[in-house]
Amino acid sequence: MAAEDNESAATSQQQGPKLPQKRFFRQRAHVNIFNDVPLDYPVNPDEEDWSKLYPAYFRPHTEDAQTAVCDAKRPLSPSAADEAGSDESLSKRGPAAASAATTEKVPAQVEFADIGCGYGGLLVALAPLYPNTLMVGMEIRVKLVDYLQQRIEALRGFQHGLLLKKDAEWVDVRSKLLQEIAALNQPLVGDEDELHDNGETTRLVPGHYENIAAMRINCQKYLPNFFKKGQLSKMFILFADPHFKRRKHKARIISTTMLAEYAYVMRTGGILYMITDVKDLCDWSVSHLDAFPLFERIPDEELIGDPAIPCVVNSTEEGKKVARNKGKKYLACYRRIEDPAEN
Amino acid sequence: MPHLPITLVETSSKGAVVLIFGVDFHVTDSTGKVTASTIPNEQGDQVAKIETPSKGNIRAAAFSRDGSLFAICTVDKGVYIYETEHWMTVRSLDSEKRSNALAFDPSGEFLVTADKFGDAYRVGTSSDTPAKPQLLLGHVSNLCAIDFSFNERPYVLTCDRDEKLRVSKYPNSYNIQSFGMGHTEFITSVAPARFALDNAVTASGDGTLRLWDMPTGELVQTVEMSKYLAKYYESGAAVCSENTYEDRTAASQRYGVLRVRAVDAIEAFVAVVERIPAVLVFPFCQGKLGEPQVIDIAQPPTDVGVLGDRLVVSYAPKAGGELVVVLKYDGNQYVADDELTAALSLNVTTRETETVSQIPSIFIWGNKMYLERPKGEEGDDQEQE
Repeated sequence: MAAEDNESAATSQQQGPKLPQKRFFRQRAHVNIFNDVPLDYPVNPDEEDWSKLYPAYFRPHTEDAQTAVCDAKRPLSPSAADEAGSDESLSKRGPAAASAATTEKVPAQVEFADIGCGYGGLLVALAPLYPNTLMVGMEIRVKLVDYLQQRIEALRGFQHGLLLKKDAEWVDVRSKLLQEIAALNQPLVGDEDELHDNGETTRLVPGHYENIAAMRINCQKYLPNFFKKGQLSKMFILFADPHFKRRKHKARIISTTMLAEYAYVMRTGGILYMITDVKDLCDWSVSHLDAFPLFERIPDEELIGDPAIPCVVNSTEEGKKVARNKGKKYLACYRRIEDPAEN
Repeated sequence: MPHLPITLVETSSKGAVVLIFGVDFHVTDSTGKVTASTIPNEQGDQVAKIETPSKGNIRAAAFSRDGSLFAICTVDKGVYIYETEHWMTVRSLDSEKRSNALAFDPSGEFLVTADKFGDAYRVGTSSDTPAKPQLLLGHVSNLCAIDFSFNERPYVLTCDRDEKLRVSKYPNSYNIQSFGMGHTEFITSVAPARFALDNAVTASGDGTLRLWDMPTGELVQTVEMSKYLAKYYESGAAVCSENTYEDRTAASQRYGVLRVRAVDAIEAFVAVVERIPAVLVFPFCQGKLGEPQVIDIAQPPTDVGVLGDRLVVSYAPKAGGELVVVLKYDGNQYVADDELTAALSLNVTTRETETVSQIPSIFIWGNKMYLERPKGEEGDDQEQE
């Protein structure tokens, strides 16, 4: 928090983008998902106007809908030439390269979803790692969505300002990531400057945060209103509400019936990342996921080298809180597989 | 004294007609003769006595495809399965939550209930199977309708109050084939058809019928009921009532479609709409719903059942009025079937009541809760515990 305040104060002395402050956006953690709340949601995925969330990628529906066109005024993610010293850039290897290659041909669409994104630490951390992949954070608590959207817009503003400067420095995504993988094994110390939390305000990052956005939705009710079958390649469920009481178990984000909907929006081969600090919730989630025929546990050794993992473990506010309290985190990742009952 | 209105009509492939009123029901054969009833018979041993299930009104009912089994669910969570030869109870159970709809799977081995908590459970219909229902699938909503498609690999179709039709494989129903999204209000009824294996039609409180392609979830066609039924409001045959706390849209000219069913005998779909004294029959040709025949009836309907090429329509209550009317197909169009209507009028009576009881509008449970709250509580959506 302190770092964030200083930094935003320093960079916004003149008129310019300003990072929002979390303390103005606190909201009670629990929401009853069964309540009827007037939410905006599209009748079906084709009706959603993504241009509000990703203005660099979509034109408003009234113009040329559903195509990935770059806004001339707003520099889009780096072309191969200016991508942070291209060859050492991380996106040359690993999943980022693959997803970049696929998304550039087809019309843009959201591929990663963070279910219950909270303050958006994960999205901000992932954005430069997958600069050509659209990601959305979904959150039911309205204040957090407001916070995150303001935060993203501020980060985009900083990037825009930096792009206008000739000599702006690029962030070295690769070494930053290596640093974090190294940090995975040592718990974060209380007041230490936290990686990720703020996003880059003084250096250019691939993607310029144009690829992330937040929306307010009740994921458990309206997920298929936003995503088509098989649209998502990664889904994140990080530090979910544990809903301890037995009669609230249906409200848990992972349940047999919800998994069917997650499996529906995920493509075969897509990965579901789950992490929690509550042993009981972990056991519950793992037992449901293990029993669910469309998901298969990914062995821990296969996760080494997945650049999303350090972000999953350390980048969220909850994740940091747990680290600070020296709590234990339980990570489980699952791959969406073909239905064994179909041949 | 007025009689209880008939609220639900179910028909079997063997030609049985079940007429449901309150906690009771009569079973007639296809000539209109009562063969079984929950009410002790006054006409001798010809009528089989059916065990009166419970104190709760019957919420939904269904026959198995071969007509050998029949099931009902009641508002006090009871679920009862009968065999239809002697009308003995095969199985009775209490469901965890109130079921809003039920359907037998294509084989008749399982009954699937759809409850107000959004879950569909299935239970074996034979008494040597486990009596504990198993979770088949779930929505985070209120389930309103359920049925099975006629494909070789059947789909289970579940409809919820939050505008969705979900098409899932069966019995591997964790595998969602598609969602049918397009309705703007709760869905009340879903009709798969033998003559259009990949299609289903849904009915909704948004005043439309929608035709879906089940494998893709694509919305093929939307039929606005107002196009054919606005004249009933203009003529005064249908009337708006006043908005109440429970029913905030009662004063509008709305078209709450109560039921849609396939008429396999003539490859058509039939629909009835709350308040409107008419039956609509849509021929299905070239993969679409054609222009409907709109048949005037004496009173607004409560339900419609399909008996071969005949339609059995139950009436909303009216003092001294008839309980049902039957329409028959004369090879070209639907006309009144006076013979069967008269037989049913003669043979079927329902319990008497002090006053003509109003049937609650489907909008009372279909409207979303927040519509009923005072304004300005939007931010207060946190859990109250």
